[in-house]
Amino acid sequence: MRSRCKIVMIVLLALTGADCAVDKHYRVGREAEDRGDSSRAYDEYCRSGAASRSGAVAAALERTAPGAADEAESAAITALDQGRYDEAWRLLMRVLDIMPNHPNAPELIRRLEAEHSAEIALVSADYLRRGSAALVMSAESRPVPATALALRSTRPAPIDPATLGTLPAKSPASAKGALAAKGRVAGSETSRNFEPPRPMTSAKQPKEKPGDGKDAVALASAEKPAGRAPREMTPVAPAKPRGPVEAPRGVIKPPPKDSMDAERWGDDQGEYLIVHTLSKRDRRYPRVLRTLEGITLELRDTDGDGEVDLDVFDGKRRIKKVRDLMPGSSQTYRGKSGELYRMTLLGVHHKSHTVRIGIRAM
Amino acid sequence: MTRSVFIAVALVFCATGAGCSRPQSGPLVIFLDGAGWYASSGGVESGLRQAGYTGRFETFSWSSYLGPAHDHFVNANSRGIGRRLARRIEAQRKVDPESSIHLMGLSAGTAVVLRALQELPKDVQVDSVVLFSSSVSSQHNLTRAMAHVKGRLYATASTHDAILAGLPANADGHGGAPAGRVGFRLPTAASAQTVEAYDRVVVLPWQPSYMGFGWTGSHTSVTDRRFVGTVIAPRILSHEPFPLDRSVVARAEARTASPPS
Repeated sequence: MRSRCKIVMIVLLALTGADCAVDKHYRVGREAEDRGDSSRAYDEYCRSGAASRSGAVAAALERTAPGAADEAESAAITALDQGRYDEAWRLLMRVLDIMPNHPNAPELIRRLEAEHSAEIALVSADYLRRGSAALVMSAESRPVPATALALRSTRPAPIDPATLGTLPAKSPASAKGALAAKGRVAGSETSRNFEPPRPMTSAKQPKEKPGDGKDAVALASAEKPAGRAPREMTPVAPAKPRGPVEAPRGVIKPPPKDSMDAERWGDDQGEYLIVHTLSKRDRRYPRVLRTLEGITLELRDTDGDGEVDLDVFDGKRRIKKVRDLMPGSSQTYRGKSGELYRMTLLGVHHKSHTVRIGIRAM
Repeated sequence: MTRSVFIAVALVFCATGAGCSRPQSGPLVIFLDGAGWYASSGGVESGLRQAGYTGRFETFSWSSYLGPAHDHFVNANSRGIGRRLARRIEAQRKVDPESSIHLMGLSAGTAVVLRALQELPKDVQVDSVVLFSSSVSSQHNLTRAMAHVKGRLYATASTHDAILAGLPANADGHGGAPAGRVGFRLPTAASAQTVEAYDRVVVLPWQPSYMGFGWTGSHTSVTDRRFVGTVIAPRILSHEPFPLDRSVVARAEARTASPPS
């Protein structure tokens, strides 16, 4: 009788223990999701789902998949910029694994495989050995890319223009080939699509004196306690140009010497086909803007951590829902012609809900 | 009385008419439901439409309406039904030789799909094949069927499939575990033709991330519209090979070259 009781107790303990193990992954995932770390949350939910195929896990996976795919895509583009093609390939495969219907990842992977087959041979063989299901679940055993960590955990420090030249050089291969920036000049189409900053119409808006660019800063200072420096948009070093690119004519010139000093962003270096400023509060800038090839960007929100939510529309159809985009990170989208573009978040000014976005061809 | 007769005639007409529609030009997806199961075509069609498929979608009726057991053990392996589907594909090819034809089947319907492919004339091919939770044997030799497939054959597999786990016999009559649980296996001592055929066979094993798209690993949830629209459609609606895909041959070679640690 006693031995039966023992067996029953052991079975009950085992069952409860198993439940705890399942809940542990779900709980960790939930915490990560609450922190806004979709990637970690997604991986934890996957681990939870491997043991318990519950509706809650399914819903959590559905919820976190877009964010996790966005994070992987941003990290992949950064890896591409830095010439870490194997890491870029792995991250893009992860994007596809999370969202098999991702519109741009397949093309980027094919280009990488065609142009940098030698660099990705090892990681490709590893993927093959593990099987297609291994990408998401293996995240625990793989080192998180340093760039991704940097993007997630720290707010990038302002970069002195003088140091821009010391950024990691990209592979020479990136200067040519399909992965290289095409160096196109934003032509008449850009000019046609470009919606210039609207003039200030509201009486509440600060009046800018001609030739006195300090007004915007002065106004920002006036709102703060004396002695505190006005908060500037967090500048991030844009990726180095991949080839000789002429100065784009479609670049939006920001008001001189305001909190969004264009030169600090390297806009006039010509690495973007076009640079947009969007804002929810600053009436000088639109919240919704038509950009290259009739694609529309709509700023949804910014938050105190410098993360930005925005939507990309092709006509009335939303083609991309970008959430928690960090300064310096990029996302891709496809223009009406089928051309792949990347948009990079150059800076955020949370107080005025203003963002600066650079766009260039992939 | 007259009303009952009218309803009966209408039902018989619908049952016989299903799958026999007149061929029209344009892309076509032909879907075959599982044994005694007639509810999956809606999810599959909806998923494809959501992914941007604009061609025609047909459900090929192969059921005897005598229950799942009869369908699984008798109809699924019927040469006559296979020929009927083969004739439908052939007629479509005659009307429109260029447009794509995709074959999809669920469970025992996959046995009919494979049988029909084998019954096709030498010069007739379909573009792709998708076998959801296939109840044919994992040892089923696909060489003859693959000769009539231009692109790839995708087969979903889940070890959580309780229906396939309880099957006393496979729909094709062959032994071994069902392909819907373990995927298709490359035959031992395979000829060059067989290797070429299996190099276009891709097994999609269930993984937890698929739960987010509605496939919980169960037998029929694989036809959830979200799974079809997100995972299957990008593979069959594009002419380019899907980057994540590794064929049965490639994976077998990788296993041989370096066994997983």
